[in-house]
Amino acid sequence: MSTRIAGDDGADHETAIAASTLLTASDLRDWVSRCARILVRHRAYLDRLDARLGDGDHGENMAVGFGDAARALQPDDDGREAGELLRRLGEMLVAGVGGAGGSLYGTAFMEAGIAVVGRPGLGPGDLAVALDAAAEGIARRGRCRGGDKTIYDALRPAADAVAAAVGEGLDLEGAIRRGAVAARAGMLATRPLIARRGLALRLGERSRGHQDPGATSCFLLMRAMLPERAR
Amino acid sequence: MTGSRPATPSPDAAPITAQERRRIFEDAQRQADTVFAQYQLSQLVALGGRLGEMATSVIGELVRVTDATAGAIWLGGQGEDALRLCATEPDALVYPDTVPVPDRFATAAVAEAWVRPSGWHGVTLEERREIGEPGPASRVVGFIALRPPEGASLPPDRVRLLALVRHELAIAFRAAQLRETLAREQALLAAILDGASDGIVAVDEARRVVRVNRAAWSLLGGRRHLAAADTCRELLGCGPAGGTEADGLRCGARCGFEAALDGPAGIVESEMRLVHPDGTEIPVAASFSAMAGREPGAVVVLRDLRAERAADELRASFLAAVSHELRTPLALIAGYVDSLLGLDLDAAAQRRSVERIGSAAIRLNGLVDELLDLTQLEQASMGLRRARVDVATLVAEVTRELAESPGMPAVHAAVPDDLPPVDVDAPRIGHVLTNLVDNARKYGGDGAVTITARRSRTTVVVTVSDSGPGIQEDERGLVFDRFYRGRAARESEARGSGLGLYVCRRLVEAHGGRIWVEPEPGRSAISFSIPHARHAPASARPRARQSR
Repeated sequence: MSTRIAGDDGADHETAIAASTLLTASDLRDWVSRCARILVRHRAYLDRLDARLGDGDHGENMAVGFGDAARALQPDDDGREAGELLRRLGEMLVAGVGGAGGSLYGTAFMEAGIAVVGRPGLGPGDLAVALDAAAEGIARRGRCRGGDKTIYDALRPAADAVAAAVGEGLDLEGAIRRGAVAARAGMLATRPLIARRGLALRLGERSRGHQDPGATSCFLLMRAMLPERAR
Repeated sequence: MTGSRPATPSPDAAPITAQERRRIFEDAQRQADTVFAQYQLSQLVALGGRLGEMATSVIGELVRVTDATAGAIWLGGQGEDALRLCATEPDALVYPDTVPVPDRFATAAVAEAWVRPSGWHGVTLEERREIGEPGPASRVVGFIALRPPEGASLPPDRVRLLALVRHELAIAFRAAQLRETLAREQALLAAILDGASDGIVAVDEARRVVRVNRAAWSLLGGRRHLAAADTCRELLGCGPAGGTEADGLRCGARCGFEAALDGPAGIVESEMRLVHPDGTEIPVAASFSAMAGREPGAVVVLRDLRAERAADELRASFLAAVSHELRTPLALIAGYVDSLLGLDLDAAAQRRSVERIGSAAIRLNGLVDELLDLTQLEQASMGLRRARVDVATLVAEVTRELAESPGMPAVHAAVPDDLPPVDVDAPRIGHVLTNLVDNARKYGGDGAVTITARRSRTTVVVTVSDSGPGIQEDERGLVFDRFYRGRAARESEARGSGLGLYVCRRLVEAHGGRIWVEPEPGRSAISFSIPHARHAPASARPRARQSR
């Protein structure tokens, strides 16, 4: 079985994130649906990564949780603010995604939503603020720092990269791409680390050499934000 | 919460200030943090694993989650109240300031007393007993202590976290202890069972086989063809033997398991024959007994009777041979006495008769000597009286004695003078030589018997050869066994008990040497070796032969 991440090639003919400069609730809802499909496709892979470090169910938990969330978000949610949708998504993930991932991702989205409250759509700057709040939420709830071999190791670099892109004046798509690239690098960088959080903590030296499943799913979520043609 | 449609405030309530809203929010965050921390601890202990590893990861997690500066966990041992230090965070070896905690607490109460003045926060891990079970209401499994930051105490929500998780931790650690105990007990049981020389088979109430030890598999003829055997009947190959199939698994009135399970307590003994797939039959003595304990079951101990039976057969044939040997000279004596008393013999005839009686008496004497030697050989201590002896001298003496015995063939000795001395019981080795010469006389044809000797690297080798047909190749290993008489011996007219070469072997081996038939075809010779005096083993007691 291939351990490489499958390319999202043409299977979903989604409306790409348009050249419009704002992420609306509708865009986010589409994104959640895409995430659900991607997570299903990579479920076995994530489970395998988790089997080496934890209890082997991260893929299943994320696929089920995001699938439920995608189904629960309705078209009439599109009228909401982006931040509100993110917060609601967070609440659903806390309840619907099993394992530590549910709590952590749920916290991340809730904090992100709270950070961008009042804005109907998200521009690149808003995205940077949201990602930063998400990363900090995870750091606080999970009591983790960079290098602990967790979701944070992909999310923090992504948030920093998006903030830097905004500083350089890139547009939304450019900022997202920088974020995805950084998330990928962060994900790969978890391989040589010794786990200091979560179940993998008990493995000590044995956790080296295995990619963290949480950082992997985080990268998948980031990449799913990209317009189809650019993936 | 921010972002949702604000609830319509009741007309009397004061509006919530931003500050209060913030406080409510942070409270909620802390609660969620506590829940999450509890969840992570739960996940950690649910993975099980070895006790030591679990203790290390739990105390590490607790220290992190409570923002403590150090932590330690003590766990109870088996069957004692004392708690021993199991893990600390930080690891004392890594950090320069070792965590100054006691290695051991005699009881949880002592631990709690230590914690109070030390400023550490302590939590006792207890396992509750079921109501009605004998023993104290709860058992102390361990004790956890956490050191708050200097001058502070643990935050209340963290204290609450500890209270929430302590029962779960107690259960998890107890389970880990029980797992380790179980593994040890299982290993011990397996070692004991597999070390037993008798076969052991255990069945449960329904006659299903629950345990078979290694010796039993060997008696049963191997595991492979019995891999599917589920019940004792399939395993031991019992027939219905009086019972009916309709009775399910009951095998009939003569089944030892049935008697043990249903009858009064005690051991039921019987004999069985176990049949191997290749047709080999093994007689075994079976002792059946019910298993003590909570669940009913029965055990059978199977003792291989083959050695016992073989020994019995040998003994019987030995007695027969001995009786025969004794009877012959006795008959001779009786005959000559009769003729002396009943016939009117002249002086010469009388003299001859008396001489013959004398020879028969000598022969009887020799046999009794051999029997006595045999008895001694069977006992543990042979009591060799060793002295330094020159082989050439010994052989010369023996040769001289033999020359004086009637009926013995001519013996030529060709022994070099420069052989290294040996440490031997001279009369005993003399006896070996005599037996070998006697053997040569009986079965070695009419030619002369020669005794030679040579030195090897560590021994002196003495060889007795004759001009007879020798011992067949397939019998060369067997002739030194007790009561074994070779083909040639059996076919000849000579009478023997089969003991002569056996006695030689035991005596030679008691001196640390070996005895063998010379292998060259056409040659009829037996050799034995004795270690050089300085090579002799420190103690040359023969090992006691097992009685069965």
